[in-house]
Amino acid sequence: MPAVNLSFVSNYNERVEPLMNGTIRADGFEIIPTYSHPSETFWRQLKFQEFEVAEMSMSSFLIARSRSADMIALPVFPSRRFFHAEQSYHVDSGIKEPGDLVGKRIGVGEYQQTAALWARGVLEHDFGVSQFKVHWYMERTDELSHGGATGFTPPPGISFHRIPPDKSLATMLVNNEIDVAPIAGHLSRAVNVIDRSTHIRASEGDWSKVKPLFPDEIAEAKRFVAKHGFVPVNHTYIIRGDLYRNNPGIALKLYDAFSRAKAHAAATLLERVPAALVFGAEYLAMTNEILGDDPFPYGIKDNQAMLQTIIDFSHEQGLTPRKMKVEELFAEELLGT
Amino acid sequence: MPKLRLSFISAFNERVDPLMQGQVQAEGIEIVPTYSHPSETFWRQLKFQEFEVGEMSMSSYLIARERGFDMIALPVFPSRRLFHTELSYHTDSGITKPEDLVDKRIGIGEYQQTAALWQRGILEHDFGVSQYKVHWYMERTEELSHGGATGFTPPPGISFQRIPPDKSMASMLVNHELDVAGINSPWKNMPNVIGRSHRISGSEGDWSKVKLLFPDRMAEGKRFFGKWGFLPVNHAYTIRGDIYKKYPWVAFNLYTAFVKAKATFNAKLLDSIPSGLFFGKEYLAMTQEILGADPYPYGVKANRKMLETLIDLSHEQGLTSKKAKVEELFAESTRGL
Repeated sequence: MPAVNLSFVSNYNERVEPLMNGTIRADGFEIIPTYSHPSETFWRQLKFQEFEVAEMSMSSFLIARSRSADMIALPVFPSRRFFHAEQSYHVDSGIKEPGDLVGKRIGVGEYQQTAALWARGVLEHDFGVSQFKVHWYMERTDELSHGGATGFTPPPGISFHRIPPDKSLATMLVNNEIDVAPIAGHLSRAVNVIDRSTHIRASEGDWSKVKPLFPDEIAEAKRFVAKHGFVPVNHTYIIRGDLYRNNPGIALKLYDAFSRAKAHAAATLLERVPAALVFGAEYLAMTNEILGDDPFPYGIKDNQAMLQTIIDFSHEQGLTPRKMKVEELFAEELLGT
Repeated sequence: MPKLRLSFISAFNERVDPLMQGQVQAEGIEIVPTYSHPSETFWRQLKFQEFEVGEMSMSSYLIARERGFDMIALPVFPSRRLFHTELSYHTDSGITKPEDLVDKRIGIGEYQQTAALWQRGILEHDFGVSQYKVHWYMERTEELSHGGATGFTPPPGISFQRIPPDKSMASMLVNHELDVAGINSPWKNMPNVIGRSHRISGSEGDWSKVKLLFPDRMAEGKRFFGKWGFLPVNHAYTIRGDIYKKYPWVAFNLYTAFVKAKATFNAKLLDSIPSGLFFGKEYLAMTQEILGADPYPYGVKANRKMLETLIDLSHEQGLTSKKAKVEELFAESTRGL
């Protein structure tokens, strides 16, 4: 039987790459890969549903599902980070530690993005910074944001502002027009059409006045994992509803392929560490010591706590009108994984 | 515009790859790249001089130059390692620290290879293990070794043995027919026609009995760098004599291209660290804390101490009969760099 073609959009991710470059194949399917920046991917997918399989923001997915968007997720979570520990502050703000953020101006790429959800939730629950007692500044415009595609309005009680179109997170932070943002220097990453900080880079500003909120990110990661037991998820992968209904078995086959791709990446991780780090084997051992042998577990069981936390945060932040159920999010045949 | 086409052989090296990929161009030169394992490269270059520009073992180069080989090096040193920290021992040997190596059997790929030169020299000078008071076991055969191409005979006074053709460093270490070798798990290197440890990998042996001689490689790296001030070189690049004489400008043009290629890689180093390490930024900072901002300096000036040490060790180990002058090793126009 000839393989079924699948349009597949994702950013480069080392745990997914073997699937996109054909090293690992999904049984019965031929993947036609499109590499795309998440900012663009989610906007295209939420607004136009262009791809049959797509990387998807966990937060926007919860919102989209609460509004009955026709897509279903696989319990695969290959991108995870300590988002709250990526925040920086301007030294003139008077901030010294995370608890000092009360009353301050915090920049976010997009209010509903997964990174902002985790940063808000962790600041609130672990550092006592109420989401209602800070001022939020969002960079993306309504037209080009994921929220624009899912019908975002600022939750009641939130102090919400938009960054003016001639400014960016980067310029406002370096000029102390905001106090905190998840950006530590002028962005060097590739331009995308959604994020202004990739155009308005503020390379002329005095970045020596911008300091990381958690100067020892490793220590903070240790604390976070010891308390919560997981590394916060960023994105998952969804199957478009029509494709899911017309191809029984597709979810299992894709899940299996994602799992094999991850195993391939884990087996080749050390050899992909640049020689310039010199102590690559030692660093990998340090990471495993802190996060365990598999910081990217797939499946429902090993992600219960993480999924319940993001569902709770999403609801408590007014992004979803009710707490979503895990069964509403993932393909039925994968609920036992 | 016509360019001089030059055949170019090298293993993948992140600091050289932009040049081999064509992302960085040498003025006036079009490179025709061949990727090749160093074991094969040096044997082909020393025996048949096949390539016009090639990666070259620094130790074999010192020997070859003394014997009148017609090639000239560029002072570029993109491959460096802490070779002595890569040694492992079998736990039944009674070894517990480097000083215990006296009288033990040490396996090496090839007696004259740069890795073995540094291991011998550092064990002797920093740990009091005389090269004359241990037993050396070499894996490569005479026909397929770099020494076979440069006329190697074991230096007087050295206890020198060859590993039998049906065994390898890996199988002999794991079976405790050797006490020490630069290997601590079944060999996973890509097959090459010169070495044997990839074919006779010792994978059935009990590798839990093989331990790193320096369990804390970072602490030893710090000690070594603190005392010696450099990261030991492995390979340089040479230009074949006929090309250098006909086109003397090639040397300087290639040198500046190597410099640009290294800068190109350094600019994307942070982004090229696998996200699976999580703390790539922190780890890179740790490496730079130990080894400085540029552990791979190019040019004669910045490497004089390292080159003089290498020349001294080569001579003291009986690999070269007199000490070369640093300047005579490199193309004339690059000697003042």
